[in-house]
Amino acid sequence: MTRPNVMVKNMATGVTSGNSAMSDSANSNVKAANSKMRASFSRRTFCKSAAVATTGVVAGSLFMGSALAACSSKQTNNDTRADGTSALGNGAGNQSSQLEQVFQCVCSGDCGGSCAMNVHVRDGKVVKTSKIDMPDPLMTRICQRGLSHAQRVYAPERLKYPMRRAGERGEDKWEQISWDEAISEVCSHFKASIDSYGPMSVAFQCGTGNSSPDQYYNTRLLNAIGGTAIYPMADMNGLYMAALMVTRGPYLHGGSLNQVLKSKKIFIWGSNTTTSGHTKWSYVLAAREKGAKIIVIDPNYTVAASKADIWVPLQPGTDAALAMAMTKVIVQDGLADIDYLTKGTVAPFLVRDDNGMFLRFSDIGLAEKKSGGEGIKLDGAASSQATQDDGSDPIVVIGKDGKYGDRAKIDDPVIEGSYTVEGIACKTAYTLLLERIDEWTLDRAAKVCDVPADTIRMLAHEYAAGPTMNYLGFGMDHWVNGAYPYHAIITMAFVSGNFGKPGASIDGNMQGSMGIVGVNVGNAMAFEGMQQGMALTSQHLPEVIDTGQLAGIPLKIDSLFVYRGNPIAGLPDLREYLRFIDQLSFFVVADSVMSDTVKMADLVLPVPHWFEVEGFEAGVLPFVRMNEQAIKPLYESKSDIDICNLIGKGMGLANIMNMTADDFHSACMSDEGAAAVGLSWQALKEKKMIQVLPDDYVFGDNYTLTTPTGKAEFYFENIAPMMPFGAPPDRELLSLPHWEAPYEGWHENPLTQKYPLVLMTHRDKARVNSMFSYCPWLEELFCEPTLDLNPADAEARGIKTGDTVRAFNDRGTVTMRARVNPAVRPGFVDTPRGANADRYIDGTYGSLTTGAYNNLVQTGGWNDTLVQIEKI
Amino acid sequence: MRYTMVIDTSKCIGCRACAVACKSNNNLPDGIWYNRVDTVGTDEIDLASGTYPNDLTLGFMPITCMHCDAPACVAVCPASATWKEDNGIVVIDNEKCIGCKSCIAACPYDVRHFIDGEPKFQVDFALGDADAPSHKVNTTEKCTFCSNRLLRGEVPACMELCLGRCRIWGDIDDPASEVNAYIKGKETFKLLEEKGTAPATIYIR
Repeated sequence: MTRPNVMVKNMATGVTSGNSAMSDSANSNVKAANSKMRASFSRRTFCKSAAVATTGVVAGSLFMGSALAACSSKQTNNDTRADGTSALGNGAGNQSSQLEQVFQCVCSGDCGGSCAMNVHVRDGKVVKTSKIDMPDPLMTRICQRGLSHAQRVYAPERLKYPMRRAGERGEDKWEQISWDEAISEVCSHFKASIDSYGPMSVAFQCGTGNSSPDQYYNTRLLNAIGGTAIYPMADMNGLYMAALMVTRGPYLHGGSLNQVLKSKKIFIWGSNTTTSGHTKWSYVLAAREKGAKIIVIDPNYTVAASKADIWVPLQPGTDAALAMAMTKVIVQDGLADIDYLTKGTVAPFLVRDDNGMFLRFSDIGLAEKKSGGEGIKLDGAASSQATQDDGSDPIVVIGKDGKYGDRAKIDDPVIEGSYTVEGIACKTAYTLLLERIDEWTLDRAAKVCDVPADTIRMLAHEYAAGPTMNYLGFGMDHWVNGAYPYHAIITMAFVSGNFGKPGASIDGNMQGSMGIVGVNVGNAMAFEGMQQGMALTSQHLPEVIDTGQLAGIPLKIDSLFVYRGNPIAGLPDLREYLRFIDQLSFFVVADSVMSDTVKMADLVLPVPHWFEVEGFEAGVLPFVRMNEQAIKPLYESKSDIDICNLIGKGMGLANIMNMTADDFHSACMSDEGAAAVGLSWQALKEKKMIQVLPDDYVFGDNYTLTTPTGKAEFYFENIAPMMPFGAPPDRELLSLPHWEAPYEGWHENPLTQKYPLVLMTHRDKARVNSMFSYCPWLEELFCEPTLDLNPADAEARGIKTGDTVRAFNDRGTVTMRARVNPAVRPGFVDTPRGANADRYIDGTYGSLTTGAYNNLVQTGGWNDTLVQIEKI
Repeated sequence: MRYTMVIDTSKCIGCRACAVACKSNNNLPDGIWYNRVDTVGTDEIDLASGTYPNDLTLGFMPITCMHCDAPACVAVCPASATWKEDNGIVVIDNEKCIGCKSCIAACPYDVRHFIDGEPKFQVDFALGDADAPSHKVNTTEKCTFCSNRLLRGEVPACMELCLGRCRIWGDIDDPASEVNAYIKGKETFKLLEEKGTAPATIYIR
């Protein structure tokens, strides 16, 4: 899936980015954006001006995440290059035989691959997909799912025409209607909601079922209406923490895939990369052949673990503790990279003892903020080297000579110690980090993580002997404490100097993680007088329906439009989401196939398979990739863009919703940023692929980042939550790496008396979330969802492989086939996620999971779920 | 000349892209898989063996026709419908096949498939390669080594996209071939050699 520059998974409705949306300067201001969002999230009016864009847009990019919007058309000094427009692919419509045409299309699923592939068409029918040879053979890829598209295009569960519900919600009884009737019904319901409760009562919820940027045309419609955006928050912990620490990634922006060929160590955290990052596994294998050591940290013995040199089973939800203990060893054993800490991180910055804020020139009377050096107040600063002259308010550091001053002017500051500057007691950020991790002795970590102390010491030494690449998976993310491991691990990367260098970086669980360059959907979304409504996450819905407000703003969501997603099969705490659906006056879903969510709709709008519309994909790989139209939309399906224009017209918004697909795609790559990399819609149509990032791309090199401090940040002076609702996070506690026990799925939780097993999930080989759910080939290969448990837990319950078992807790129940699997950690059970309800014997997995969330990053904590299992 | 597949099981991640590529390109009927990937020690998919945490294994065995040098299937065919070509490929002529299934019984690898009744497909038009093999009721079929693709200068479908890059293919009689280069110095084995079939497929541990 494409990842936004700053964060938010793939999606997004709602707030918009204007021009230069994700310029690096804008996207660097994560914290500023958060505080702005806090101040003015409710309603704003944007116009398409650069000035507005830099304020509003950041917020937009934060919360509405467009990978594309997020992506700057400009490049940082890191984003060198881009002369490169190399045409790849086999070319549209090339005739490989007299009877067969070959088109270049893109698989747009949520695995994060967006692999370009050849789509073969005979007699107007898609008959197969095949590889496109990439310049780097390791990048040539399609997976088992990508090879099954001919079955998806002609799937029996394709939605063929607009339908109106003919029974109760969820009863799956339908009446075929015309598009005119359907659009008229959508518009009359939207209007009725607006008349009763105002524009914000119309909500759009975009899922991750299609990563193409056309979703931002839906965002344009949402903004034209002034409605509410609901983000289905998933996988956001790592994104958000990395965004705070280095502005991007780990899923959106690591270096190029081939960086791992320069790694000596590959640390894989909470990721079965052979399955969830399978199309880039070729690079890991190639690295291994060059001598790299693979270390997998995972509670379960996954395929990736089976391929590793070292597998470290640990207590789930304790990766942060492990990383802090490893960091302590790295420091104590003299393995810290002082040079990197000094030049590349906030380590030397002084932090005030009294309030935890960085000590700035203005704190000591030095910042009159005049340019050219004038007006600098030097009273009482006899020993200062302060010469700040750019109107900024520098953070104070201490030179080796004991004098204090501006980081930019002191080449070699100290990174440790306590200092009193003009009467203000301070410590360096690094000293605070050392104090924070001091409690993480080997013994303590060994107990918490259930990893032997010697192993932790060994891991620390392996880690420090880089270059070390970190693949940070979602296994750690899906916990209520899921933000903390990313903070701790990325901090360890900084301390050991394993960041911003060839072969040393943070990378994600996706099939590639390069940012998006040259494409700017903000241009295409924005319009004069744009209205922005409310933006919230699905985790906030219970509060909204129970209290009629969020953060004091009255809110009633009365009509809902879900597109590109299947939240009912994907979101945590299904019970609560269904309660939300139940109180809606109107629920419309656009999808290409029947799903749990479609079944609950009042009205269904059929959209085409990806190969049936023209478009493009960017990000993940260093190429922007053309998606040609291989065949016309099947049945009566209409594209997202066409649907939005029809609704726009019906809502009296035809003056805004008036772009053709060609207009929209052209607008996405029409500014100077696109031109700088030789990108335009016309050029892409001709060349099929255009390279916009270099082959050897290192993110964050030259000790430079676009964070507020310009450095890699392990210390946050004023950490802001991702969404500005609810109690603010504990500022001091979360200023530095931190661990706390999981919210529910923890062996010391008294609830384990009743529900003693922790229910964890994995991505399986058949599905991507719920996508590919009913593909006969994949179902034949991989069977129905199963519940795997350790032999000890199975024996205690008299369960054997093949038995039917029920998992249950106070929230819900699911019944499926059990398998006794020694790869599963005792005390835990494991099931794939994403299956629709009809693939279980009874109940659904989603009914069991917790809706609890951390107010730092309000994202799903599926794994933080206790259950009991019984044989049926 | 003998076409031979080398499969490096140390690299196989069990994704089954080989199986689906084969299924798609050969337009295989429902329920028929020329290629399968077994999980070592179990009939289940991706189930580990051993004891948590220090004694665990999880391995995969991609299996298809071994294109044996002494094929048991050929020896028992009463209709001369299956034979070994000079290029090493064991073929079946489904015009000659009488559907007696004796070859299926004789093959120790369970890689021959009987089309029992009219072959069924999910769609009513042919998927895959235009020249994909035909599928005829009451006949036996199996991996063709993608002979149709070889004639076009393409590689067998199963290895084209292998995500683990664990399949290598070439002429085992050519000392300079990629297969010979790859197996040099590696620990190799063949499946069920004791059955006397002289399987051609070479596995790497």
